[in-house]
Amino acid sequence: MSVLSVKNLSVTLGKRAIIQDLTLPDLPSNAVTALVGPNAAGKSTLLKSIAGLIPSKGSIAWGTMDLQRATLADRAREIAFMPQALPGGVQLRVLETVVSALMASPSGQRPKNTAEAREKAAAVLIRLGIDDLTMASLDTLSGGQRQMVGLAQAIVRDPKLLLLDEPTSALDLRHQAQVMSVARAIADSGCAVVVVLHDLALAARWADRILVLDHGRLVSSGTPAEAITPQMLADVYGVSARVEPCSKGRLQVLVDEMFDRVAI
Amino acid sequence: MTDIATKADPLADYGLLLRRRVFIVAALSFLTLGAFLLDVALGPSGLTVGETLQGLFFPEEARRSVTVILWQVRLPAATMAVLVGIGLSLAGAEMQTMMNNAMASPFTLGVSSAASLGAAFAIVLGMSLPGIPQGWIVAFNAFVFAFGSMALLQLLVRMRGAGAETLVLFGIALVFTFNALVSLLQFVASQETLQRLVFWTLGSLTRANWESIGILAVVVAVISPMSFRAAWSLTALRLGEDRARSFGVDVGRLRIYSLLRISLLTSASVAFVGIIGFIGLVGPHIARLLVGEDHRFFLPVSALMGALVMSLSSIASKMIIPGILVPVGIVTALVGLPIFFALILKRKERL
Repeated sequence: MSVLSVKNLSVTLGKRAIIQDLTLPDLPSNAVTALVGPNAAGKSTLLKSIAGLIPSKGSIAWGTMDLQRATLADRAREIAFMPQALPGGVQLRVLETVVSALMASPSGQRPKNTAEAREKAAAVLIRLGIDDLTMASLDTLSGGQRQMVGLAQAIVRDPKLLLLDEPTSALDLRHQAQVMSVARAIADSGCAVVVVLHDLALAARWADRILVLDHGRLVSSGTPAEAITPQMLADVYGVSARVEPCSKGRLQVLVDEMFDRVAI
Repeated sequence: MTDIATKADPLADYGLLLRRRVFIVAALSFLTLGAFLLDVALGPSGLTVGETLQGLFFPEEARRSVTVILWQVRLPAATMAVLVGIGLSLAGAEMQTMMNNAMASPFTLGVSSAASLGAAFAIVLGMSLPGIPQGWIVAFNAFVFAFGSMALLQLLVRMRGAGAETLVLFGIALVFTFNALVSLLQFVASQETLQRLVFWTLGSLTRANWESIGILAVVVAVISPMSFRAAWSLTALRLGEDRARSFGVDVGRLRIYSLLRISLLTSASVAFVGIIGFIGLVGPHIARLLVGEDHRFFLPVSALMGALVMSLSSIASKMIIPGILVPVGIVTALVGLPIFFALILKRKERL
């Protein structure tokens, strides 16, 4: 079982320091970790630096692999990253996009032939319940469907560490639950899943552990009940809110009012 | 799990789609071959079909004037049309994927103009190296300039983001700049070199000869397979750079090699026939409509479409005014401009 460890991480984009000296608790396999926090807290930046897509200082290690030094091929073997959106105006069928995720892999990780890649891609589409979209053109899909297809491209490569950047932002209730239960199932099969979420109730429902980021710093972490507190909501989000269990005992976040930040 | 088989099998549908695309490739190859033969058979000197066939397949039995027309005028021009069509259209297809912009092509972004400036320099300065044919040196200099302009465009995309409008405007600025510099060279050139230079501003196939065809054929034969081999990486790049990199695609390396391929194809084409506009735009555009953007099909179909459109344009250039050969660049511009406008208008709608 590998563990993701992030220590003393700093990321600067342009001249702006997005993340400064961030150290996270170790994120284990078999668990879903939710990254939450207000807009511009550095959640996506953190995810991208773990994925090796933007340069950063500090140490990022996945098990024994030093991700700051790993080659693209080594990283691709272990890690899959799902960005927020798919670009528009692309004339590809859904199946083709998932097949290309497999066939564009470094040699050694590629399926033997395209027929095998097609079988594998089709199986993932069935697993996500979007096999009816197999032949659809990417350009004709709704925002939610595109997110499901993006998820298919990420999980088809059987990652050990799955990084999801707001996978549920454009999804309806059923598909939100479906994406999170797929993330849950992938974690249960031995994978470490790190997911950026905006919806705190969704995070509380599906994640084992929650990390709250604000201004590039870790302000709270732990189980959902430990991390999501009225005090945290006031400090980080600037809202007066209650955190109460529902009739099934799951945490709900109820926002009562905004603090007037300008007046303070 | 077996009850899934009772549903319509999407993989079977996809198999049908693949078969249709293979058929499209085959059909286009035949059409291109047909257009090429028609291109050879037509011309101001009005040879009969019998004379043409005899001249082509039994040259030793044909009249001398017939073999000269066929082997030194028509065949080189028709072959050049096909090769230039492949070169420019393949370069255009790769450029559009690299820059994520359907309006990118060697002509619209000024790479062709840069290549022609490089070629013009080589001719005006009389560059030469002992033992190397001048055609190679002209082509090499065209390549250096084309590569420089491609690098400049890439830099812009990196610095300012791939904003489609910015890129196209920058390309237009490059076209004007390089064309002005070519004009300047023409102004200071001697009478004799001027003759050779004027021809670059109007793309034309009439100067094609077997030596230049040889060079371009080698470039196309070497570059196309390399381009086709990158098909999956290029397809993945269509899903976004971050995503492609997380699949393990070395996007930086892909970009550099693609830049080299585009520059080589464009410069080798432009060095021998001058600037021929819009082929690199029209070929990929039609290819995308026919087979989508799975680059295993998109790249070869773009190349074939380029060859077909060039051959048809060459035929049209002989038919527009009977007895007179209109420079083929004028024909391709007439075909290409409406498509370019359509692309611009379509963009506006989407915004």
